[in-house]
Amino acid sequence: MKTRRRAGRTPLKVFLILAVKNMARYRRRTLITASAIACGVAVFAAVASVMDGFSSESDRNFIDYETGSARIVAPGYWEEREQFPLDMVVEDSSEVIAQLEQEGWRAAGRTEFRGELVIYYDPFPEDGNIPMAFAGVDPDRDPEVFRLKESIEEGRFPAAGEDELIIGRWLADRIGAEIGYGVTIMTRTKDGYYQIMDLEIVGIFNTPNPHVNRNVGYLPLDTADYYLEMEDAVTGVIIRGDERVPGSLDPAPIASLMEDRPVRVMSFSDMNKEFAEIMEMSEQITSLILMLLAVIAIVGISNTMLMAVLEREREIGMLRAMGVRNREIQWMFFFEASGIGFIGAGIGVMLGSLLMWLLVTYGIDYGEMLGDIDLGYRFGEVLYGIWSFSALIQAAITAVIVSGVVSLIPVRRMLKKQVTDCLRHS
Amino acid sequence: MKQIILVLAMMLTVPAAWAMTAQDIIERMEENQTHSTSIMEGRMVISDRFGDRESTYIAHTEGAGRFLVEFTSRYEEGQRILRRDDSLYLYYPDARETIRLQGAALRDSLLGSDVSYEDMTGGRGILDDYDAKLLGEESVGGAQAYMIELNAKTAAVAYPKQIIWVDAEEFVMIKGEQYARSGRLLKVTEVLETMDVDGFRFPSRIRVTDQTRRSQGTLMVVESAQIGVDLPANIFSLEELTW
Repeated sequence: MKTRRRAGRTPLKVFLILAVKNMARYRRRTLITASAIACGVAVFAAVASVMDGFSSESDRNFIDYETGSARIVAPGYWEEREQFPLDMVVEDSSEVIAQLEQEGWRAAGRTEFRGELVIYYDPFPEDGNIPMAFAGVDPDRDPEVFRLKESIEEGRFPAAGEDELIIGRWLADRIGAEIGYGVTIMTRTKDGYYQIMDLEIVGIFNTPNPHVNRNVGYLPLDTADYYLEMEDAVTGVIIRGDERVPGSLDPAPIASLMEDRPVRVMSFSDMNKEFAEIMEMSEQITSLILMLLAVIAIVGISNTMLMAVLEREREIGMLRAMGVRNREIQWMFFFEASGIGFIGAGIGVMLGSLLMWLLVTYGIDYGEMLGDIDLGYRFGEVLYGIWSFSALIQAAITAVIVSGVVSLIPVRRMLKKQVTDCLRHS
Repeated sequence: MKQIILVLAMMLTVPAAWAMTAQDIIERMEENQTHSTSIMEGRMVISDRFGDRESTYIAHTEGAGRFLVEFTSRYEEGQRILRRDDSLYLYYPDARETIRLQGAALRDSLLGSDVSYEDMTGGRGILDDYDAKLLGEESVGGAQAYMIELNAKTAAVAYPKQIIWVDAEEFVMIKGEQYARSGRLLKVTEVLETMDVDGFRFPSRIRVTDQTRRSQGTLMVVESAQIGVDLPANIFSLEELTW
């Protein structure tokens, strides 16, 4: 019995050939449906490329200019960091850094505080005051941890012990600042007293991190220490590791080194939690786009296949009358739909690759669109995509499988009909 | 004999107040300027490069620790500032929201003037927060005044050092200078006129100038004052603030 069934079965290859012939027979329909799938695959790949680029550039800009790989702070400081508290500090920072350096870590102290940048008419175009953040940076160690020094576009990095300041290009252009101009910072000491610092702008930097370019001014750490009366305390000791993947540095060895001190060691993931939540939301949006594309493919393919099945009702009836099994007819339509999906995915991969190349090479210039609006994102005016082959493959495979599977719905309905009813179809 | 005559002459010519210490002078000034209760109507004129802006207000005070200022001018109408228990609250009628000012928000200026919200906090006496030292006597705007240096002894105050000039006859502050930790002059307060109500003399026309911003100053004028009046019950409560 088993042998007889095998002998009576038509090889799948025949149905595969039939499916290809049908695709060729209904060329226009095949191309239209494949184009819709191709657009879906290409758009998905482009969105994934931009989102991955956004995430990757943001992580890099966070690490290179703001957070470092890990950070030692006073307990409770991170939760209050937007208030820039100077009473939650890492005491004896020189000792802490020496301890870290002894173990081979690259570390630098920073004292971050809030103040007002006061500028005066002549040399500036007009009087004004800008509330902003400042950070005391160690001129020797900071370049080991951050890339701020590399971003100096004009002038130089502030020197230890000098009353000097560097500001971002964005800010400098808006207030009309130039190298050598004097500014005043009005802030508070660690104890909360008013403090005034008269500093000279010695450098203008331009980092790929717009938050830093717009909102932060940097002065030598020892100058900040003196004016703010920090007595060797800093608001954070930042550590730079050699990890390739952002957030992969294990902070445990640093934590064990610091266990006798009243401090908290934070990993990049701890510091980046809020941004990671935004990214998670972005990933959900990407998933939603994928789902929408799947819906488009499902609707498109099922519509196409419904038409094909209805058009070929008599054909199906004839095949069934000739002894072709229902499952074999299902295979035929499955191959046809998958074939359309395959063509669509193929075109989509090519189109998606082209879009990705454009995004990786030229990016999307948000500069003019955003103007002076600070959304708090950590990418420059041009957002570049990255090559995301996994997204292309994911989209292509999904398109082929979904196309094939959804074709079965109209076919199953047709196959429930009697053979005679199918043959009677006009 | 000559020396005895000289000493006697000095004793007769030097005012009895020379014997006063800085603490005595400040206590007398605070007695004069602190009222059990009061209602004052006034205006604040803020001058900047765009011209003058005027805001009017009614202030209710109780001792040195509590006050409620309600703005009555068109653009700020209904905005209120309440100080009680060392805390400062703002009420915005448009938003129907009460905000407790703390931390860095206290450094913001009041309606863009040269006065910060922080200047309005701290109901404690000067001598609780500052060590006072009498530097001498000098003439300020034609009036003889004691010059007193105040150095912060707690971190509860914003100005580490102040110098005030107190009218030697009226015991009213007629000038004040506030300094930053670095010694730079931050603000200058000048009393242009004083007012006498029921035996209390207090500044009624004050100009505050922020020296760091090279501002043209903020003029604060008390138009009328009633002292020792009965204030409505709960006027300094948070519930009343939102009414």
